[in-house]
Amino acid sequence: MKRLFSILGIFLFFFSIANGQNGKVSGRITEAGTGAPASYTTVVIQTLNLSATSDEEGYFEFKKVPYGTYTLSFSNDQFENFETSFVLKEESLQLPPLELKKKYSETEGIAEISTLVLDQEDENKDQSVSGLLHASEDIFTSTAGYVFGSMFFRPRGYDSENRSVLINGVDVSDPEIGRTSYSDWGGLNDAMKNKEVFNYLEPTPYSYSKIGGLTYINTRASSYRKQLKASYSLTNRSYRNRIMLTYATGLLNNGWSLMISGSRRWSNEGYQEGTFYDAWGYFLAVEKRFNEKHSLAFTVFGAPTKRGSAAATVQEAYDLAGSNYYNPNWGYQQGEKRNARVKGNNEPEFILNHFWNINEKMRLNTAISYSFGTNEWSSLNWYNSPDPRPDYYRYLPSYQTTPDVPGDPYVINLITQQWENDVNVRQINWDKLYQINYINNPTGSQARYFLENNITKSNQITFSTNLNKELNAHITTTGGLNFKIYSAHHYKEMKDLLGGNYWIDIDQYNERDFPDASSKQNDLNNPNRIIQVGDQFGYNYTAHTNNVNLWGQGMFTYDKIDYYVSGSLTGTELWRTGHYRNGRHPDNSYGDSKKYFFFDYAIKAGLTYKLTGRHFFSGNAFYLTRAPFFTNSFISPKTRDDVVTDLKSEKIYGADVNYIVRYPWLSARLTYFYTRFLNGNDITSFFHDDYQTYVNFVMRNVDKSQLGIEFGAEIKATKSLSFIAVAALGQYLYTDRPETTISWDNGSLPDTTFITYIKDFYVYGTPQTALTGGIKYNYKYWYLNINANYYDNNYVDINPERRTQLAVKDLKEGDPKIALITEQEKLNGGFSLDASLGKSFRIDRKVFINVNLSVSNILNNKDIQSGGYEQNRFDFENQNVNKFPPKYYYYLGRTFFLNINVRI
Amino acid sequence: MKLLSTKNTIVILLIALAGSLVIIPGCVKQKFDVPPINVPDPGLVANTTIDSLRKNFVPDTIGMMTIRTDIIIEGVVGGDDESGNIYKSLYLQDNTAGISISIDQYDLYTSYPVGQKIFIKCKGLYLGQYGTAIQIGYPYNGQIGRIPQAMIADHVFPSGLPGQEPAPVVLNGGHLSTTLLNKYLSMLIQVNSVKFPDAGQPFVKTNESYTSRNVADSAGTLTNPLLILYTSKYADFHATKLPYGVGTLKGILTIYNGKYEVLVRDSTDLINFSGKK
Repeated sequence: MKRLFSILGIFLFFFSIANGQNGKVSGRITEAGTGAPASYTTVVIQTLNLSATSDEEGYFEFKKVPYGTYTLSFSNDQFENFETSFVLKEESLQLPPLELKKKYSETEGIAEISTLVLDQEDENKDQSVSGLLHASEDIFTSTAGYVFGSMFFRPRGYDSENRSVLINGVDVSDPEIGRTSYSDWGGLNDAMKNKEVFNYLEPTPYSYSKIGGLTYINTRASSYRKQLKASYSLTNRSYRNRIMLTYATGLLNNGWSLMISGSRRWSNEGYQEGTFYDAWGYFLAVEKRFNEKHSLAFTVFGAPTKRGSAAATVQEAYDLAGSNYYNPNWGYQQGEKRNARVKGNNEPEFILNHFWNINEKMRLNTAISYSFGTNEWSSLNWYNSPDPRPDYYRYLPSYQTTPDVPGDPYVINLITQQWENDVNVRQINWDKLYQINYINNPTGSQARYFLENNITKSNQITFSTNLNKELNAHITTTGGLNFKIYSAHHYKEMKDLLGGNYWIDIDQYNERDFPDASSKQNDLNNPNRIIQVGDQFGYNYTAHTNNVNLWGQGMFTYDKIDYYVSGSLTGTELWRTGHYRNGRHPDNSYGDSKKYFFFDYAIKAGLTYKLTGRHFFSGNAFYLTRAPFFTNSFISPKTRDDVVTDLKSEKIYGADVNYIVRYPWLSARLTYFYTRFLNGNDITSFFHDDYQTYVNFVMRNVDKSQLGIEFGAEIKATKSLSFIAVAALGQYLYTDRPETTISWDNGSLPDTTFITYIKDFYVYGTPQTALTGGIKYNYKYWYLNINANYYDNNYVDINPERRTQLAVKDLKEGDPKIALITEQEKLNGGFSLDASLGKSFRIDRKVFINVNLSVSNILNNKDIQSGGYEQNRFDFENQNVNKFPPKYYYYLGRTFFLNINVRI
Repeated sequence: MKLLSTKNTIVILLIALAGSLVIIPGCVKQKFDVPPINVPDPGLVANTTIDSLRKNFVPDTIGMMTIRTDIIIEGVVGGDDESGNIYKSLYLQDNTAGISISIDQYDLYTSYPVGQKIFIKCKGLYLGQYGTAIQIGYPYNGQIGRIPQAMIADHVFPSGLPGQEPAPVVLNGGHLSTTLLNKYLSMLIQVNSVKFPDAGQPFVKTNESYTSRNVADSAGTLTNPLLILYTSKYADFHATKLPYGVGTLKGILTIYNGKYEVLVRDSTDLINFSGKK
């Protein structure tokens, strides 16, 4: 810390500049037409590059502005950008009332996330969709969220654990995996729309943000304008209908304010067959402003959601089904479509805030939160029975052909015909599963097929406090303290025995190898337990993660130069509590595991040089260590306490340089960035068909380098017409050869460890190239947006087993098989065209109506692959990569989103 | 005077919308009817016995014969693959004889367990010999192989719900003959008064993919012709130990390269062994 302060001192010395004659400028901005305060608007004095944010009432103020003539620019996600000029020649200048035009919410429709996208997110744990979180004034960032979001574009290739989301000061990420699940507030768009977005390393007054930046959602009841609003949407994406109702009082004379919002989204079927959607959303915020200094706010929200999911599958199945949107997860039961993979999510959050303006220059904000809830995901399970999944590789025509024996054309044709013509072959045949259970019941046997629920019940308490102090006109300091206590109970629950008698809680595969041994018991403390619907079985443990974090930051603002320095210290504690004594691991599965402690630090600094009020250069750099998340620490938490060998914090460092131009007719940013990730762990767990068990692939010392260029420009050609151009050109590579350990949950094979030859392979999960060009047109409250997008350089997630010496054993150099086995496949990129058209009306001066239709992928391009992964199995015997080909997700074809809202 | 201002109209509409929000739910189906048990009735009548089907087998140069006529046989499953000792095949028998049906699918017992009555439409299938027992199958790579899974629905028809296993043919370990055994191939047999010279050892030796254990009569003399207890390591009872003493052996009689083998369906097919060393 001592060193930090001496660095600060040197900075201060160099950049302190003597003051000339200064004055104060203040004003208030409101929404044109309604007079509602335009709160949280960024106000910038161009040539000085001084910036301020308007408060909840729309007031803003600059102190110590040198006398002169200036341009003032206003930017806010919800309003059109606006500029005005003023002359300061006295000590205090009160600007006349300023009005901002409400921005038409062009992007909502496009940013709606489809079911497909959600499933892709869930299946690949590194995938994420943070589209709805990127409402930024920066054209690159907002485009990355709204336009590229549907393609899983991740800015700078960062996984979503690198981005912070705070709701009223509370970090809502899940500490077990590091990610934020925005579906916790799905459908509450009106309630969650007061957002402040900080890009990447930008300092924030709220927390030491992660390297991907921070989205701060303000849910103080007083921050919503007085309104009654209803909206209805019709779409063909994940759901069909959405209704939202919102009522807010605004700040009442007695200091109270209230905001309530509710929503429902539903459909019997989404864009993909067999996907239903059934979601509610509720939100309540109450605030009492006691006086100028103290205010208490309470927020509660939740979004109980149930939906039928879709799965990725192999191209052969898509082709047989005649659609790249074929979904193997459903089938008919008594003539009704039933989905086997139903997801449920219900995690309400309660937040209590105290806002304390200690004096004009100092404020202390404190938040306490509690959240609890359930995540569940059902799946079929079976015992000594044929695989019920229609796209199982043995059921496809290609299985008939082996490297030695060509398939019988008659048989291949027959299978093809059945796939094409018989829905009970193409989809799950539920009636048959019941029938098989019925046939086997009389012998007293356990169920052959059943439906289980994989459940996570989490509990989280957080405390955070945050002090902002303006030392003088140039220096603002911020610091905070955060605690987070988290635990999550993971277990399986019997959901439906599908007509079967019961289930016995033993590991079937282990039983086959060691029929009499106790090793087959999933819980030695309760061996051979009979399981009925609603009973817990299989695995049962609690994951614990606790954090304490202390951070501080100094921001320094001068005429030509701004800079900041921030630092953060974090302590993390991880452990597992097993509730079952696993038969394969009797000595390290029950009770508390060892506790693992990590001490981490982070530092970042940045500098902006203001060449003129129109041209800026800036640079940022950071270094941090990050404790591994629980999910990347415990090799097989379902069965035992073992952690990754030599478990340690990841190191991440990087820098960016930016050139920014701001003219009334042009705003643009060009950035070069470089980020290095070292010593990461990556654990993938998946169900292995042959062994009927979960298998864990543990990659250690995963090193990545992520560099690239970001460009975004918006050109205002006329008052009503502007053009945008955005480009993200990245190169995200693995830079080393990680060590992979394979471990089997049922203990059927001993753990094996090997070197994974993936140096210079591409990091998967995002198109590394994304481009868009767009037109924005607005005229007399008509709005039109058109975007043409191009995506490329998106790669499949690889199976580490294919990049081993064993995989290419006995192949001579130059054998074309080597390339087939080891090379990483690039996914189909392509063009898409999106458009959005809308109109706002006003009736009686009091009633506002907004109608908006957006259409995505107008050209109905159905060949773009939004993601894909190699199956984690390899045919070592024949070294045939086509036996277990990759599975793909496809970018949705043409979809629409029609929204009508009425506000009073 | 206007009865309702636009604003009031809209307020009323919003309230109506709020009401519908509460009333609409229920519309997403998540509960399903439990299917009733299906008692299959294929409506077929057998026109050939298994014995005459076997007798009509005239192998071609590669040991197969296409069944070109509309032959329908009927039988009851005597041996299935539940324990894993029988692999990808069913043993079907009627009053006249038994035959094995090779099908390219795991866990056939789930749909065709022991005691299940089955009709087989044989036209388009093949007869062939694997080792030496006659089986119904389908060509694979130029020889008799398994019926592809996709063809099952057109050829194999369960009838009714599974019943009792077929009554085994009872033989005496001391009084066997080649003629007798050949007659009962692929059928469920019961050999009384047998003994295992390897008693006390597991069905399958560690690290072997299958193990053949000799069967002796009650006096300890090897049966003649020799019966072999054949067990695959994939049988879930593979590690169970052979019982001591004299008892009854039940199983499917097969022949492989001239050797008579008995495939037990589970370790419980060794009945009433005295257990004395």
